[in-house]
Amino acid sequence: MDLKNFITKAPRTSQFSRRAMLRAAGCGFGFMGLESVLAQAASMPSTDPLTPKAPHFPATAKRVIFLFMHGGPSSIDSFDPKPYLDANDGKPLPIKQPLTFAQGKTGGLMKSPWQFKNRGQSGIPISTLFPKIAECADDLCVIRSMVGEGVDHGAALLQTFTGTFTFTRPSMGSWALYGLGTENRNLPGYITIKPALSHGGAKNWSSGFLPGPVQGTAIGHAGMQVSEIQKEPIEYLINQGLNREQQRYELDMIQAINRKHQELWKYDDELETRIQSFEMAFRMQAEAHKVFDVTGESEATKKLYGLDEPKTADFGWQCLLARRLAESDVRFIQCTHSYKWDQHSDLFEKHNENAAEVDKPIAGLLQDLKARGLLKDTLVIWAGEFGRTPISESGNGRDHNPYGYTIWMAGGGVKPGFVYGATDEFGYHAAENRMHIHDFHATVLAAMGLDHLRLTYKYSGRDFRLTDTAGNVHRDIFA
Amino acid sequence: MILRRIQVVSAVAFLSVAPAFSQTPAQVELFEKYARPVFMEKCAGCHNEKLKSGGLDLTSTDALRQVAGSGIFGEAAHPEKSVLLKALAYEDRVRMPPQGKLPDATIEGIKEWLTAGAPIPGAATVSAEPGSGTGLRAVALRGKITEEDKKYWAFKPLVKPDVPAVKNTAWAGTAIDKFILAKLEGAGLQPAAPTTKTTLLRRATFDLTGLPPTEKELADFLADKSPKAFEKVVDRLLASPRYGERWGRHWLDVMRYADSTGSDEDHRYPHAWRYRDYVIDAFNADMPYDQFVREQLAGDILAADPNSNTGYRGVVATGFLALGKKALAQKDLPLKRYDVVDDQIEVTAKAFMGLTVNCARCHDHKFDPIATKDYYQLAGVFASTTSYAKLAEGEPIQTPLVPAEKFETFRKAWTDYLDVEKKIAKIIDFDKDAKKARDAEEANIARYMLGDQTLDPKKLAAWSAYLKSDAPELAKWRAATDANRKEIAQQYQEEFRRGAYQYDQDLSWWKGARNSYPNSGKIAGPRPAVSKVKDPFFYAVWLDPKGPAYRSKDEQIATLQPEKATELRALMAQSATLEKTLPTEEIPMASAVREGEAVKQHVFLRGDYHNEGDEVDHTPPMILRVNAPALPVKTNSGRLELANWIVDSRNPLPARVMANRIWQGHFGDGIVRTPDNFGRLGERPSNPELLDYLATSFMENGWSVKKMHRLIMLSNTYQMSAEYDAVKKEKDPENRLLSHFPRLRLSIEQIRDSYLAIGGDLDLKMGGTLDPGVGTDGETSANRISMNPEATTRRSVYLPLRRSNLPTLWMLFDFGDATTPDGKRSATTVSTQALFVLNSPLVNREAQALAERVMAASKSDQQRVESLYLKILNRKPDAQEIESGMAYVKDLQGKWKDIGPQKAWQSYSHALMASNEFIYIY
Repeated sequence: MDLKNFITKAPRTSQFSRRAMLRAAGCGFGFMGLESVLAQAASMPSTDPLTPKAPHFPATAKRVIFLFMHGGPSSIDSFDPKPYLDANDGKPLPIKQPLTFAQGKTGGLMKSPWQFKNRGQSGIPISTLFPKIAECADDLCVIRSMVGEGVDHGAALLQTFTGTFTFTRPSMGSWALYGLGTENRNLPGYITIKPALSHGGAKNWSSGFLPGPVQGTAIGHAGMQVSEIQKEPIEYLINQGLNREQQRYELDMIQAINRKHQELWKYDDELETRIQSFEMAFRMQAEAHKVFDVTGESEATKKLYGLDEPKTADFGWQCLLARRLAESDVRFIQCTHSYKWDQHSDLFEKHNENAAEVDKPIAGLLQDLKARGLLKDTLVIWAGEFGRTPISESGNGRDHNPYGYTIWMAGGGVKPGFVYGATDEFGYHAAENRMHIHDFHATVLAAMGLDHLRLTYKYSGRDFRLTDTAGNVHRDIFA
Repeated sequence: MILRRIQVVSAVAFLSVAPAFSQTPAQVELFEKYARPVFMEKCAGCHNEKLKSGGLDLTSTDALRQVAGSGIFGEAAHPEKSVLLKALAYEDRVRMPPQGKLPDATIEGIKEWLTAGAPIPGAATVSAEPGSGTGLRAVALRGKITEEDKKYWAFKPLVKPDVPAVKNTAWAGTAIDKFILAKLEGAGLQPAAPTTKTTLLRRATFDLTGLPPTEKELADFLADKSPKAFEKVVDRLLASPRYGERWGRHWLDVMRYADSTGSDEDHRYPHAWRYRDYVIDAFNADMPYDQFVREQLAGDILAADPNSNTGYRGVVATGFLALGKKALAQKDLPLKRYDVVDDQIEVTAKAFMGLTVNCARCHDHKFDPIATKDYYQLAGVFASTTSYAKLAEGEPIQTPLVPAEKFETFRKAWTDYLDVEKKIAKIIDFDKDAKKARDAEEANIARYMLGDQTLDPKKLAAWSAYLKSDAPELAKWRAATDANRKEIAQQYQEEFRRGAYQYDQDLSWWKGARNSYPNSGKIAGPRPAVSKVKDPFFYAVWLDPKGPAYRSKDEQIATLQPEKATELRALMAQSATLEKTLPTEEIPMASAVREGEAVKQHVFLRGDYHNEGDEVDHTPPMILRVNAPALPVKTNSGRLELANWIVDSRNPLPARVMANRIWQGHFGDGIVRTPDNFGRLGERPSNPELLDYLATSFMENGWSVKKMHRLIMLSNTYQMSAEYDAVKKEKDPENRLLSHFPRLRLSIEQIRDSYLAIGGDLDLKMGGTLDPGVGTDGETSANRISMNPEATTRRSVYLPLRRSNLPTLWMLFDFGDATTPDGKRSATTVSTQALFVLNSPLVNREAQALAERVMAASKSDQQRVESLYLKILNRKPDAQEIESGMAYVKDLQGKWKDIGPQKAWQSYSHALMASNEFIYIY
């Protein structure tokens, strides 16, 4: 007896609403091209939040890779030289000290223990802390005027990723995915690699009140070994009991049962949606497995990212994976260098250690993206949750400073070899072209072709957006 | 600086335009549109009546006229010369606001207003109206209760409506049916036929208990031909303890229940689970809802009154106020305090009254008659309630549920012991000292392994002995070749470093937590241990007494001066003695609030506590007092008075809101589909008369929730089939009128608990906690993630919830965030849910267990298929389904040699468990 006899044929799409057909197409059925999906999306309202959508205006970046340095790397020791500190080492801070985290433990001004040099054609000053990234100076757009309000890590992370630490709100990656949808339905559209479990944890990649499917998918978490993660990069991705062929056979049975059941409820589109979700899950198992397996990369590439050295192997794997996900059209990708940058003491020693873990992988990623032609439409962002104070803490460390700090971007339409904004002479407050986190969000969305004022979602009776009631796009950073 | 400048300008004030006191509407509009928002949002933080930064108060029209008199606004003909504009344009040394230049468009607006002569509305136009108290308000609408407000449906007094006349009297057996049918007939629709008994039993059992019916329950119900058969089922289900676990969870969604603080540090609330158990018990005991509300809001105050018969239960009941999200590391202390107050107001208003009032923290509600003043009246109640034991340190309050002396004995014994431990650490911190030595060794590990002869010979010998051992973790080392030995040694060194990092973190969090155990009435568990399995190299090198980097306590003590060592040994002996007498029984405690000092609450202008407006009373919002007058406040906070006022029968909202929640629990959608928002931004009721009928019945029946279930479930409306046709879909696509029963998706708790029940593994033990810890865990520790739902067989409602990292499974199936009140979950369908159903070890394990049981119980394949249908889909299969199932099991085994009968039946069970029919209720 052949099982196929029991499988009721899928109803022809004409029996279904256009909505169901669109969903089927969105799930990756090959019978409709992307253009027709987009055309349909334009002509009818979709209930599938992942359907590809046209941006508000032409985008310069199709996707984002966010390299997050958890703990708060010091700007004035890396990308924002402060000669004033060299000249006034040990002297008291001549301005009123703003609210700090480690009140009472802070001392006078402390000069940077690293040397700054002008790098590349552009002459951007970068310290000896990041020798490899310094070689990519001409690709960087250094923003020295970031401003946030979170004085502690939790508040600062939540504000960096969701815009607020007072409320629970969707993360910026979720907003981007909600705004643009995703073109590869065999992978999640928003992936965060080894994210932090502390300081807001999953709230930093959650979809908040946006539809659940736009939430970030975590690949492992900070503290996990890469070898552990590789066993099952996405939770529930691997079936332990059946091989792929057998599982397909079982899935055919599930669908046969579903098709019979569907005959009773022929006006209910939801049933078809769930049937298709199983087909997509089955494809995702195969597709994700391929993407997460980096063994096929050439030795030269692995070396470029530092996979061959224990110190750089972890973050190198993250960066290499980020490139592979970018190639697979994942919309928003995040790598996290785990909570190490919080140098309240031993700044020189520990910052050197941390930098040694990320410097080569990040430079490798930039070079690789460039060589493959991906950098032009991939926006790479390097940032911590804040910078560190020009005054010392515990003698040889620095406290948190959200009032003026540096991030950098590369690719995705930003000006290469460019410095934007400035802090005051001490490196405490942003003084020129202040880019508040709301502005940063507005600007990143703009690179992706989204107007932060129009990217809204109605919840609890009113329209919400990532930038709340604020946010200005800083157009000057775009080429 | 700015003060001096203004004095200079004042000297030439006679040149400036005289501020106009009689204004045209167009002029007033310029002020409202451009000037007022800037003054209020950007300047009022410093330039207010209290701070008067630079001598300027920009927060009232009177003050503004005075400011105008100083000439700061300049001449209408030359606005660019005005001091104000120069400061805003960042053209001068004085740059305002200091946080950053305003957008050009905003400055242009101010210029336009200046060009018009800086008009300021006369006193009559914006004088503070009663209820506002903000003085200068962006929208001068609210605070005055209009007739229209009073007529808004949700605020109208509750009156029992007449039951409407209907045509199809044969169908409409109950009043509920008549209310439903009247709307259907009005729309030209008819109700669906009654559903089958089989379907009805599945529907009702999942509805009331969150679990599927057993085969016996189905057989009994089918056999019972009496007209009361279903009524008996409903009563049986309502009497089951499973009922409280299912319906208590609905309430916990509204109360945004979780077991940790969320936000930044995500510390555990070690006693929050007692509130969860209280809710489950309350539903099981059918506690009258008015009492339920009173106990949750003011149970601690009731407990203090022996006549109230509340006792410690009342203390536990206030848990919902105590277990909200908290930013423990927040340095701005008043903000920290009022963020908690804000959370408490949000839950109280949404849960009991279906109102969103939190926007009024900064401005009057733009749509509902809730003024800023109303918000701060409630804020006064909760600001006078204590939620933190220590605000600055971020220690939430915990209340012992035993006499104070007993708790004090416990706390003192543990604290004394820990104090001695602290004294020991002052002489030598064994862990720190060991770490220091280890750090020094760490960088040399590769060199030791490679036998660098410049290093300490004794240690080299220890290393050499270890490397020669047959320890399994050294397999990679043994396999190293000359070409890669150096690299491999580096890898070992790195592995060690990672292990050390994680261990240090875990240890430091444990130590931090240990000191707070006594205050929690809890006894600290053992020190974190390094797993020999997970981190064998790190363990072998450093913690094994034979390890090359091991450092014994004696070695550590030997580094001390003799007299210090003597002192230390005495302290260690003392510690050992104290340790023997430590209490071994934990003290039951609650995460609860208590009465604090009564604050004089002021309105905070624009939500900023620096910026105080009028003082307010501790009392409910004005619009709600129209129906039910508020009692004078006698307790410190006014919490008890608030609670009593909420359940005053003249107050129409609580009964309406709860009746709607109960209806929603049965039908998926409420009569109002925004259960937490009955305001103007919420949806209107689809059947207002029915809602009022339910609400009045609720109060008439002594606020009994179980009686509401009976009332609803014994109606023909509840017992309709879910079938519908094209006409119904066309006329009422969202089934708002209920012409048929809706299709509902199981919640994640129902899905998981059912799988466990079907597999025979569900543990029905009730209550208690599955997480005995306090504090939080290492920054990168997996312990930060909420308990894995795969790791226990207890019912889902008992799984502890760590707010910052809820289980992936919960997030996949629309659980919500356990941080904001959420009276209604969504039901999405995405492929990652399918991954869980297909691949989760739990689902596959239960399918296997089920297959084994069914195979053992019956020998015939047909019986096995029938049994699986009954257990999973709670119905009998038809002939085609039996044939198909048997064929599948046979085919699987024929196709693959590695699939035997057991695996084949497992796969078939799994297919049925994964099916659409399983996950939907009809």
